[in-house]
Order: sequence, then C-alpha cells, then structure tokens
Amino acid sequence: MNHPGTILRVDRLRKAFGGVLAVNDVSFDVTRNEITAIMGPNGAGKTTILNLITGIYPPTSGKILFKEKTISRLKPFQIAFQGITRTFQNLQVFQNMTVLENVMVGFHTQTKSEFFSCLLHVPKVAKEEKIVTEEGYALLRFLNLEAKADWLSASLPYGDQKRLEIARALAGKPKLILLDEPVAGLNIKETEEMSELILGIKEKGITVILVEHNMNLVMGISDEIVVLNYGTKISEGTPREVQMDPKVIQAYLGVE
Amino acid sequence: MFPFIRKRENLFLAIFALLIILIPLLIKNKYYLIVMNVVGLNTIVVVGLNLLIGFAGQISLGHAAFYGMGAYLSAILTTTYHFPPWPAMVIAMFATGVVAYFVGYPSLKLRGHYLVMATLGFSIIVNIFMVELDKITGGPSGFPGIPNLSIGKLIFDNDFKNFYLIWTFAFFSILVSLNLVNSRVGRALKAIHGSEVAANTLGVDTDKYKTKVFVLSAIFASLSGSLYAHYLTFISPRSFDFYYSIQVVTMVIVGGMGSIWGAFFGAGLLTVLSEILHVAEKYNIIVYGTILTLVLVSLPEGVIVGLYNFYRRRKIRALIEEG
Repeated sequence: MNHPGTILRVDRLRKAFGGVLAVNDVSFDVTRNEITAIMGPNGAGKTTILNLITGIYPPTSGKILFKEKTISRLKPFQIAFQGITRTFQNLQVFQNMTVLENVMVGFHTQTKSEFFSCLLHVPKVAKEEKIVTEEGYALLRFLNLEAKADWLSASLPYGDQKRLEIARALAGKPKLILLDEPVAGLNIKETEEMSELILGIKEKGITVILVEHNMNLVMGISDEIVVLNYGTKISEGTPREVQMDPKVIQAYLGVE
Repeated sequence: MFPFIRKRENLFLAIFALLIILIPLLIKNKYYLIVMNVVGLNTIVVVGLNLLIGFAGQISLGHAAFYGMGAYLSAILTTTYHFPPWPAMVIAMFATGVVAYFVGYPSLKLRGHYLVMATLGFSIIVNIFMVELDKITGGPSGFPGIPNLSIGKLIFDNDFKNFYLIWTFAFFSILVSLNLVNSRVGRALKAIHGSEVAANTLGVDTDKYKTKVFVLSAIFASLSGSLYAHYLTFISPRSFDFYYSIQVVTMVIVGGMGSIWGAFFGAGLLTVLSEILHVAEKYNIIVYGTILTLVLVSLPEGVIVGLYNFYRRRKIRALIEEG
C-alpha cells in the first residue's frame, strides 16, 4: 500500500517510558500537502509522537518513514535537514535573542558557513548574511511581526511568541511542519488568525501535522484526523468520519 | 575580513584601534603600561571564554589550564628545544586545541554541570603537572629564560613594544569574535544557550557546536598564554592556578555575558581593580566575591549588557507609549 501521496508514514510506532507505554503500536500515513491533525485527551501520547518524529526521543520499536526513507534513527538536527521542523507546546523561543535573530537561526539548514569562514567573515558569509536577513524580514512580514524585528523575543506577548516559533520553523523551508497546540492560550480572534495562518502554510505547499485540543480548529481546517487514547490509535478519517465514530465519542465523553 | 555592513561596530573597532595606537605614545609610565598589557592578555582569554559562556551558555572553570598550556608549551619548545617562537606558539595552540577537544567532547555530550566539573578537575591536574614535572617545567620555582618574540630585527623586549604586540592580538581576537557572533555559527551558539532542544530541531548539531566553541576558547587562552610567556620571559604555576580560572569567569560575568565589548570591559575593570587591591592581597578574593555577587544581584546580565538592555527597554517602552 505505497500510496504515492504519502509524505510521512508512521509504522507500528511504540515508545515506552519505563513501564508506561506512551505510544502503543501506532500507525498512520500523512498525505502530502494536507493538514493532518492528531487529537486525543490529555496524556494520549500526541506530543510524544511529535517528539518521536523529530528525533527528540528514539522509538522503542517501529519505524518512521519520511519520503520513503527511514528517519527514526536520526538525530533531531539531521531530521531538520531532511525537511521537517516544528513548534513546541511549551514555547521554546530563544529568549536571549531578538525576534529577527530567532528567525535567522531557522535558516540554519539553508546555509552553509562554518566556524572558520565565519571567524574571518569571508565574502561568502557576507552574502549569506544578506540573503538570510532579507528572507528573515520577509517571513516576519508574513507573520505580522516585522515591526518588532529588533525586539528581544522575551519581551514579546505570548501570541506573538507563538507566531515567532512558526516563523522560525518556516525559515528552514520545511516540507513538513509539526505544530504542537498552536492555539492553546490564544483568544478567539487570535485563534481565527492562527487558523488562517495554518491554511496559508498549507497553500505554500507545506504539509502540516497539527496537535490540538481546540475542536473547532481541528474540525474546521484538517483534511485528516488521527485520534489517540492512552497511546493507542482509536480512530482515523476525515473530520466528519471521526466525529461520528462512537469510539471517539466514548473516549471524550465516557461510556453511557 | 572587515564586514562593512555593521557600521556601528566598525566605528567602535576604529576607535579601539586608534586608542591602541595612541595610548603608549601618551602614557610613559612603565607601571601603567604593564597593567595595560595584562589587561590585553586577559582580554584575549576573556573574549574567547565569553564565546563559550556568554554565547553558548557552557561554563568552564578550567581555562587557567589552557592559558598555562600555551605558556608552558611555548616556554618548553623555545627554551629547552630551541624552536623558533612563532611556530612554537602555533604548535602550542594546536596542541591545546586537541587536548580541549578530548576534555570537552565527552563532557559536553552530557547536559548539566559536567563541563564545569571536568574542566575544574582537568585544570587542577594540569597545575599539578606544572608543579611536579620539575625537570621539564622547573616546578614551583618557575621557568626562567624564555626568549622574547621578534619579527626580523624587531625584538619585543620591553613593555612599550609588547603593548603593540599584545593589543594587536587582542584587537584581532575581538574582531574575529565579532565576526563569529554575527554569523550563522554565532546565532547557532546563542540558540543553544536559549533552548538546546529547539536549536537541535532547527538543524543545529548542538554537540558539535559546543565542542567546537570550547576548543576555540581554549585556543584563545593558549595564544594569550604564549604571549604572556614571551613577554615576561618567566612563568610559574601560580599564574595558572584555579584562582585565575575564577578571575576570568568573573570578568566574563561582570563585563556581560554575550557581549564581546563587555568581555573587554570586564577584563579591563577587574584587572585594574585587582592591581589597585594588590596592597591588600589577602582580601583580594573577598572583594572579587563581593563584586561578583553585587553584579549578579543588581545587573545579572553584566554591567555593559545590563545597562544597554536597560536603555533599550526604555526606548521600546517609549515607543509603545507613543503608540
């Protein structure tokens, strides 16, 4: 079943922390240029799956294939070079850097200068700097953060920090972007803007995996939904299909 | 080599270069020159150490060892084995870099304070070697008779000539550090400081970068140590003990973590201060401790960075109030 549209395949993925099975033989496919949402109650293993895809944890067993290549033994930085970037549920903005610098770090995979040429600031480095600065500003414009480019990122309001993380993840020109609870803590207006933004990312031809609790958002913009409960996949399908699934209703509302 | 896009920093560098040229012509007092030469030597160490502590956020308490390795390797190679001084200096830097790699690589792979412990232990071991290998190092009584550096017929045999020599190196260590921090690598280092996980998921090979900047900072210290040995022509283990490591870390923190000019400022301020306090040498460490505590409590970002950020925050606040 090698579907040509599949960009990421999670195959019988398992992660145990001591005796706890956080992810229990979960398999699903992510279709290119779609928004796939992973949902489930707290502790269902959603963030663990993102951490497994980005190599922060090695899986206990199972495989992750990205563009038909196994990535489950790679380190996080190698996975970034493959074209997968992410945001974090508990923000990981570089607080010690300006907004622009944060985004410029995102270009790491797109640039090459190493220690020696940077120390001497050879012409190649200057050229790279110029490009990265310009593209950094362009990305900040896309995310409506341009006016705050020189701010220390620690002084940004929460919503801006969330968008900054997305800008930083987009800078790596990913094929696949993982968003971990992008609207958690945002108000209604900000949530609407974020939903537009995620659709905008999809329009750029980037595949999105979304972990989110906000039902309206998930149901509104996802093409495909994977539902987890206690580390196990209990349902999968379009938003309509998942909404009708008695197992999903049971997981969220309990047994009648 | 001189990045012309960064106008303000180039202005600072130009003023800095001008001061270096003028100061020895204006100040004839030999004692002041010696103090300033020591400031220059410390600047090289502190600027390098700041790349490690201030930018990458990794703390070393062992840079006295790398400083000492530079000094002793230069001394032994030139005096005992009659190597020409310049190549000996390069060999010392290279050897120190290799040793730093083997100290840094395993301890930087681990999170937490392993680097602090490893470097601390390492520097104590190195100091014991300096004292105990007296056939090679001269032991506790020191290593005399190190030749001065020279270029052709120009021999750097007095404080005046050494001022230009040391400060030329200090100037270039500041220049290359400014280049580094305003680049892809510099940002990656700051990102490691900010969030190691996030840096890694953006493509930064954090283990590699931490090791490389550690090696680089050790090479800076080694360079400074070699210059020190050739300048004073006499070295002893006491100059490279644990106290020196503490001193340079204090200079980094007081000057401001993550600021190259701050490192220079910290080196200057605390070197001069410890000279002033020389009369009460016993209480030196108490004063140092007090300063460190006061800075950490009132200006945790360091004097220079703290004041700069204060100014910047005020400006941003004014901008917000204007709307």
